[in-house]
Amino acid sequence: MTTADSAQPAGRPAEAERRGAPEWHRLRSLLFGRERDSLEALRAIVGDHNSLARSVASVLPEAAAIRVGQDDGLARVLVPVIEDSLHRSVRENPRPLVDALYPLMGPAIRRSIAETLAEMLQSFNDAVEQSLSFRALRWRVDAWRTGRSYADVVLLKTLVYRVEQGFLIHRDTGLLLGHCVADQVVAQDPDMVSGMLTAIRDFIGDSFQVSSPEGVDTIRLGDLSVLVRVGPQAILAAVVRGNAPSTLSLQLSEALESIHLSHAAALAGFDGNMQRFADLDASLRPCLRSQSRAPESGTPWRAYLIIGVLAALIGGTAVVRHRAQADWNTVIAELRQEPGLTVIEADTSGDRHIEGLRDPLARDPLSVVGAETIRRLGITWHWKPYLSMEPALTRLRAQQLLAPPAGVRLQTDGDVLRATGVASGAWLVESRRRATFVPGVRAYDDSGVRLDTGAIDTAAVYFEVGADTLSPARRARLDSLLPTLVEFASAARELQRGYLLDIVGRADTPGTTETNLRLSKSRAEAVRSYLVVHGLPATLLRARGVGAVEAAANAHEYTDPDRRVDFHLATTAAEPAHGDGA
Amino acid sequence: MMQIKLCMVGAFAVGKSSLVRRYVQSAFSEKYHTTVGVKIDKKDVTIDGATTRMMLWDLAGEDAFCRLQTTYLRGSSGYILVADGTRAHTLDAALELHGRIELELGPLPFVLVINKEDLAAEWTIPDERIAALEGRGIRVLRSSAKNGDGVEAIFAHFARLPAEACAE
Repeated sequence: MTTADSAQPAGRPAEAERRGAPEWHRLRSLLFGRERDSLEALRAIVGDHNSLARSVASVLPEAAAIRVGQDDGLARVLVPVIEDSLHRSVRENPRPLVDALYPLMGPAIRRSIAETLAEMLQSFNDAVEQSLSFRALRWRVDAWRTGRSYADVVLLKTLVYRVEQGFLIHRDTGLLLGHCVADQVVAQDPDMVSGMLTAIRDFIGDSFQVSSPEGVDTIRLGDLSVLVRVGPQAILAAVVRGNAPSTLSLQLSEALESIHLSHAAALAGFDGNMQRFADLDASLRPCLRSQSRAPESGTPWRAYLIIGVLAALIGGTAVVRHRAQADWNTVIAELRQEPGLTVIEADTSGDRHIEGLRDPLARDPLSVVGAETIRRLGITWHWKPYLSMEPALTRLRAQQLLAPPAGVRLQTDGDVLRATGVASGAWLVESRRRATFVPGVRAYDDSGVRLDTGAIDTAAVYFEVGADTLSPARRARLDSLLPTLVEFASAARELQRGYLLDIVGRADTPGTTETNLRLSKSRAEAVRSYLVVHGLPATLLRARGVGAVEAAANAHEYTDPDRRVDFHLATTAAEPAHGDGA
Repeated sequence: MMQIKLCMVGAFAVGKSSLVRRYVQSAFSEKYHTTVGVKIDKKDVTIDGATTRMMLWDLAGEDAFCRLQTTYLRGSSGYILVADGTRAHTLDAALELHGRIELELGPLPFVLVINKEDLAAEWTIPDERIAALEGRGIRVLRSSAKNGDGVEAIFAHFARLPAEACAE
């Protein structure tokens, strides 16, 4: 029955409309016209995507702000979105994020590195200071005397203060909300200490009519004190060993304020539920401050000094070693370069020692490298004698063996020994014999040595006008020349250079040319015959007359330039321009 | 975990300290009673998987020379009134304390513990009086610090307090 009733009103207007009754239409617009318009407007906004976006956009920040104030739902929804966006951004193009973070990361990394280095240097300095100083020794004695560990003594002596424990206590109940304790500090059950601390504060407040509404703020016993900061709902108590600076109170107050701020609701409606304070540690831990007596001021000069001295020592040693090594290398190179010295072994494993070979003709190694260097480097050596085939040594050996006269120079060209200059026939002959015995010399070349004719060149036999026979005086003159000539002849024969002795007869200008030529020639023949008779080989002697011509360039050397016979060295190769030979 | 503060009050030598000595963690010596007037102990009780930590403020017994410092009761979730069954006047003292506490701190959950049940034969408190107290809505527990009877029940009673508070 009721269902039929309620269905009817809906059915009736529909029917009227179907009949197309304009009255009904008008009535409806009269009754609901304004509402219908606004409904249409709303539908347009909701129905159209752009309009809806625009209207939501206009309230989005406010809506977010309201929701953030209510709970963390928005954050929970956004966290995965933001994480995903970041991941995607990094994956697709890390550049924008890197650029954005760069100004933060650079200084942070630099600071971190600088701090790490400073810490290292500081701790090194502390270690040096505490292990080297007289003070450290005294502390060790203290530790031994009192039976404490050395670390304990150092801590006690070097600490200005240290916050050993921090308690956050609910003000009314004395219940412990949070507790933190420094490393290596042995603490009583913090819950009971918290209660007792509250009880003692109450006790003192009740017993001595403390004027401050916040009650006792410091309890002190010896070097231990308990600093108490009181907030509206909670109390922060710090157990401090040593002399706490005034700044510590301020820091504790700030910590307490920040805890009141972050846990305002949990503190105000405290019902004993500890879960709401589970995250307190992060807020309390910064209260565990400490300060060492060793001031951070200034540079750690001990560390610098020691590092400096060590560096100087190491550097100095390295320089000295390097120089010694370089000098040693130079010595070896010089010895290797010196002819007649051969370095077989240069040993630096222990002392510097050289094993080598030395040609007796080589320079003294001491004069090669210098006695001072040997002494400075502490070099010892041992040389065994040997014959060096080096050209320089071969030349020296030849020099010694051939004993060349002043006018002769010896040179080596590979294994060929060459002599140049002027030498007597005797030396030439002897040198040929000896050269073959010089070790290292395969061939001897003396073609560059001119025979020294000595007295022969200036010797002469003089004749009177028209004479061509040998008077006793002239014979005596020839006799005095004989040894020189014999010597020459023997050398010429030995040397096999095709030497000849030219015996040149001359006449003075008076007389006919023919007469003069004949006269000069018979004078030369007379001398030759005499020499042959006296043992000189005829093949070596060549007599010729030149008449009055050929007043030799050296005519002034002769007492009577014109009527005479003189001697000249010649070779079979070079035929005389004039004359008829022997 | 829930934490509550509980106080134990009563006349001198009714056995408050003895009552808890064997059942709690203690860090401080008895001399605190005579110096500071209070000694704090700790008792963790787990009921239905929920642990409640009770910080027990064992207040020094009141006598002619030493009055109870009600300051110590501030912030308590409840208190335990202790009387000695063999000395009826300790019950009067306990009730008198109760009145004073209620006056200063307002109504708080509490139980009345009549100790020395092991000496029940020597009790000077008649059962009718106890029944009358229970009739006034006071929770009366009997205990013996000597043999431990009824002690756990005292703590269990308070351990349920936070849960009851939540239920309300």
